[in-house]
Amino acid sequence: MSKVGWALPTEMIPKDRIGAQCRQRPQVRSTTVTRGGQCPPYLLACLACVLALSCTASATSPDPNLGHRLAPSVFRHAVDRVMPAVVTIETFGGTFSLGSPSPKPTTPGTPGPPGSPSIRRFKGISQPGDGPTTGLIISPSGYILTSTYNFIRAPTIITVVLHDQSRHVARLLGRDETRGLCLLKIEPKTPLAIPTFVPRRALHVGQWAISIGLGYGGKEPVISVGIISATERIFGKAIQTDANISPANYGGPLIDIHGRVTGICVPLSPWSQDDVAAGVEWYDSGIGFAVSYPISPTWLKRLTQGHTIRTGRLGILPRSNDNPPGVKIHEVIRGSPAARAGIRKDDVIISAQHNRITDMLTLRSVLGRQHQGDTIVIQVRRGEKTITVKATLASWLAKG
Amino acid sequence: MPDFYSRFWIIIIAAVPITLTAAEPDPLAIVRSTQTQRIVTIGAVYDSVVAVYGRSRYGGGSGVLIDDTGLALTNHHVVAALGGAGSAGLANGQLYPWKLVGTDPGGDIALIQLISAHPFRFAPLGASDRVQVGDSVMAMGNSFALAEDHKPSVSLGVVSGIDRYQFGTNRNMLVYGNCIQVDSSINPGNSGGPLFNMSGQVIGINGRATFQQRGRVNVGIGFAIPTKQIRRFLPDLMATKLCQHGTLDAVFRERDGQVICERINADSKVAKLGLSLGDRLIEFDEEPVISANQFTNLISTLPAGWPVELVFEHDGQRQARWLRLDPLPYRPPRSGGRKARPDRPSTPLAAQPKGSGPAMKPGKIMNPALNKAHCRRILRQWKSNTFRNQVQPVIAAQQDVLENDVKIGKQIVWYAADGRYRVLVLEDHADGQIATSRGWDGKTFWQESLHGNTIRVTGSNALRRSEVASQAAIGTFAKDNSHEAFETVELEGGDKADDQITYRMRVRDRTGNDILFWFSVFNAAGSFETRLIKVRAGDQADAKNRATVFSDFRRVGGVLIPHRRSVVEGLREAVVRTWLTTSVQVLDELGDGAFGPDTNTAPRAIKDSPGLAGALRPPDGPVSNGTPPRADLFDQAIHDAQLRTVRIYGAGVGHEAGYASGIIVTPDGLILTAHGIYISGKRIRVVLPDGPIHMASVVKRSDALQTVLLKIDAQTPNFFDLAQLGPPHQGDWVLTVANPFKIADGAEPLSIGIGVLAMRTELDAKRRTQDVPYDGDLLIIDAISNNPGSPGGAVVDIEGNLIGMIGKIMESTSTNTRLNYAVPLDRLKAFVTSGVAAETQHKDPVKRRATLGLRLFTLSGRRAPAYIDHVIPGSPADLSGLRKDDLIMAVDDRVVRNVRDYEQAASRLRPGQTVTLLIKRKSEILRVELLPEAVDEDE
Repeated sequence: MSKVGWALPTEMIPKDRIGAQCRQRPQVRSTTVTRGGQCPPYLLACLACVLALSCTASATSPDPNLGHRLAPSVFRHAVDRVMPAVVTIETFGGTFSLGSPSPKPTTPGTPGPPGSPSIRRFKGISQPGDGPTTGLIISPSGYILTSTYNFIRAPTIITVVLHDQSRHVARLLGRDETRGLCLLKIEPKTPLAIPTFVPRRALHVGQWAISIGLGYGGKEPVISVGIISATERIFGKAIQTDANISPANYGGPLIDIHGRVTGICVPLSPWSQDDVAAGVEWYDSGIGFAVSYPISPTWLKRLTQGHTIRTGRLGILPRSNDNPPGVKIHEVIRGSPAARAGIRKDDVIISAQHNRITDMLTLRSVLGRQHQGDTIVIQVRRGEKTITVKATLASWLAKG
Repeated sequence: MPDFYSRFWIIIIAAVPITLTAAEPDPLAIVRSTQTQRIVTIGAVYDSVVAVYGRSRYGGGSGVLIDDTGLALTNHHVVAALGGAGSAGLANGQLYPWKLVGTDPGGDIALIQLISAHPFRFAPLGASDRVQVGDSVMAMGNSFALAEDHKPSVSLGVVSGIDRYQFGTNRNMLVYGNCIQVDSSINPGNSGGPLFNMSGQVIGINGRATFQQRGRVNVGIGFAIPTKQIRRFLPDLMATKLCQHGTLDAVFRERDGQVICERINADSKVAKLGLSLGDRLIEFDEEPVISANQFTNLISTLPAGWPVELVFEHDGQRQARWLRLDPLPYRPPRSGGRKARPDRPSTPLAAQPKGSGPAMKPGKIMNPALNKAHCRRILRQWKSNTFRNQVQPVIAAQQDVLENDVKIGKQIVWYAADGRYRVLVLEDHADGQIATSRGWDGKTFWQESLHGNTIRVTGSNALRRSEVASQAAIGTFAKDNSHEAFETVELEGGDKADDQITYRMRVRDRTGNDILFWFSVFNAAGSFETRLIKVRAGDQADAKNRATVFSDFRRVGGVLIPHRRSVVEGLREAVVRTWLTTSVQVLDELGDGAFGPDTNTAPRAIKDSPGLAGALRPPDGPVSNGTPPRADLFDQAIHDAQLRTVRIYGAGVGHEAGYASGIIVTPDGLILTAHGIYISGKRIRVVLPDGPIHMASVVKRSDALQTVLLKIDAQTPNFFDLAQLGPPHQGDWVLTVANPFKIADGAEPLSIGIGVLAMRTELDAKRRTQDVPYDGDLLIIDAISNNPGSPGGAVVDIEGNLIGMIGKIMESTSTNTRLNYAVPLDRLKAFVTSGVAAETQHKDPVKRRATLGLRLFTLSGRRAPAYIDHVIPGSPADLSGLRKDDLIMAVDDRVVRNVRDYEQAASRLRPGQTVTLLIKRKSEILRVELLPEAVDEDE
């Protein structure tokens, strides 16, 4: 597999090219086969399919003992392949206090304060540790993705130690609160090694997943092996794995057995998208998340420009009723996007972004995929009438 | 499922290189091939995993479809919390309504029915009794209700223990007997979800996990109810009952290694059968009883009414008695209910019943209509399974008649698929051979001897006559709409017949005759395949409790024919007489008259001819369940390590567990364990792997390793050889053997976990742990080993070689998370072989302090970055060119995050020892070497 070049921002590869690569994969495989034989590729491909079918269908195909025995060497090889793109992040200074208030909303266009997140709770973990953390190089020019959790102490200085042990001062650019990711930039003298990424739709539940982190310090990573548990979690943003994911590898990659990156390890929770530390209580529990990457060229552009991507909110309180379909509104928060869009108390939301809304969970699922500033189409039933409105989601709602 | 198939093609094509390059084993290709196998297996059962919700989609649990009509298993505690109906989500994204069919509060299993016009994809029920410790398993379910799209989470792990017993926790004792302990991630929301083996068969229903200290988060210990138990309760569940578990109404205790009856209800069945206080229990349900715990394990998985054989010793006499188990009393949930106690370990995953559950009476059929529908389905399937051919042939069979294994005669039988039959009996008697004929022509049952005495019986009268009753009953079933021929058809529930789990159906005709049928319904491969195993009709139902049992099923001419038929007596099913088919022939359809009493039109009798024996087909081959070879890679290592790891019990205080594990390191009773409260008391008990208990004394301890060496006065021929040193590699498999949460009791094998070696690191250099002066490097593993009871356990490689010992529970200050780690073998060895005194004194004598001659900017507090505020002229700092406003980032490669870190680093400076500082000056990073100078002690 050729590496996907990710120099930024001009060299950005459009999203559809990744898709094309994905679709081409079978073809690439079959041409590899042709080199060995003399048959036309399509014939061999057919034959190969039959062979593979009989291979997978026969009950005795792979020897599980051999598969297990050889696995550690394959894991090590995969880790070795990705390590040049894995960096150690060290932070200096910074404060940390529990129960600090939510950050004030910043106007779009200006970067938010570099990591002054609210930490409302730390279940199962007293407070963030003070060790180094992990990041992943995504462009030869020095863009590095990592977990927002790693800057929970709002450090004043961030440095990055590359695989060759060279140390660089890093700038914190934008962040995506909904994915728990943020972007760092260093100025390397030579182009950096970048990993190969696997798009999410090429992933299979059950394939090996190896998490890598540098959170215990040193040159050698801490690794953990598991499988991919699900490919679409937390509003389609993350994949789920049962490999151990913890502050030791937040910001590090989750890789496959070929050493390709399937995601970036982060703490996430389906119930809280604002709390940077939400999901930390699940560390090493067999439920871990990795945000799949690449996300989109515009997403990356916003982060390089220092924007903060936040959860989009509508500003309604649903009535806890038992008569779906739809979400009946108990209260519309004054000045909220819902109020501005003309949604009223007792309206029933029946569709959002052209998805049928059956209950609060389906609405949450649709809204969870949107960000602050996104405009969504909502259909409400008001008495006998059905009304279609547009609402531009906000990140923060003043209690009216 | 276009999505599935498109994925499937990718898998197939990804598998191509494996097939073609098989000649040269490429590790990657082999590992990918096992990975592909797993992905395909998951894909095959993915759609069978159910996200179970109540009327709203908040909360809920998981489940698994076990047949295409939508029957799904889940936990009782899931439906008890949700009520008797709700919605269920499948991986295809669709929601389906479900309703409760039956539930088993004692075993924490419930059966629900998903409703759809289309057949469901389902997962076959496998055989849990073949499960072994170390087997790879996959848990699936909607953990933490993460699946917005209902797609289950899949987690891989291994079986940590089998035959575990977990005490009941609520009013009706949600007992987990003989359950499977796994280390795969089982979390709240996984409740009711399936545990799969690597062939995609359900081997258990995940019901419980042990959570402690970390709230409701998985700590690598989950419990699944085995399918062996579920299969026994499934008939009662399908009968729409609130199941009851069996009891002997007697209590047994262990005394001097024997299991003795301690309490007994004088009115109980066992008492009437002769069991008294002080009697010794020898066998139960064909298993020798070795401990009270094991007996509880056995009986807790049996339904009320289950027939068992009890062997006990009374007054020195061995007695064997058969009885049906009495029901354990069921107490309906209290209204209002008591809240589940989340602080208690081993609480079931979802909320406890709060009186909102469906109102049910124990042992009674809750939904007669659904029960009848299940009867119809069983009968329908029995018919289609028995007569698979469109053309219904006539089968002729020659049978030997045996009594006490002695041939007493023979007979020839002609069967038609519609139930018509004719039998010619040739019995050897002292005065020669006696021939009788009988049959059913579709209307009349008849019997005649060659002397011409003919009996004719019609209609339901046939059901009363033992000679023809079972044939008459089967014949009636073979007709269309058979159930309508009867007044009532009712699935009574489960029973054991011919040593199998069967579904007992009671049929009553219009004249009040009761006929009982025992069907086997789910075959060994988990498919819905019905066979008639046993019938009791007519006179058979009388005093002697006789019934007819069918076995040795073989398919002849498309018809599944039992080649052995026996009349049995009593619960024991003692064989009275057997008919053994010796040869079979398929004939063309015969005229109607062929089955009548008129001998002239009787079918041509089959003579003993060698050619006919060939018609006897071999039995249907062993049920193919597509089981791939089992990975037994870890077996030897697990076995060896379990023989060398012990349980340690001592004093406990508050949250500090008073128990741990230990590893035997010499043949004369030296045992290593981790430091903990349990070795502080006077009594330290060591339980050896095979059960003996010894008192231990502390030989020596190491503060640096947080390790203790114990000695017991016993020979320990199985021990870990500390001399074996094969440095493990990162990523290598490691096995943990320990006793987390003291789950393993008595001589039960310890729990195992599997993970990889995550890294070897020097703890002291990279992190300081609060109040734990651990010093030196350690092995970090990704198997969860930081549970109470685990410290002191063994960490071995796949060859069973010791590579370390699970250390005291510690947190890393680098991450503030609990470490899963082991003290490496070389350090353990050094400790064991070192002198006693050497370890206790490890602190260096006070050395002279040194300074660099700089002062930091401390106005922002000690958490602020270490900026230099002032450099003393002429000092080492000045000589090396350090300036005001430089930021100190590291001292000797130890990161300095803030002023406090620098102060700690500075306290370790020694005069004359060169130190390297990492300095940030603007955006430049510099390495600076300095030679500290001595501090004048007088200052």
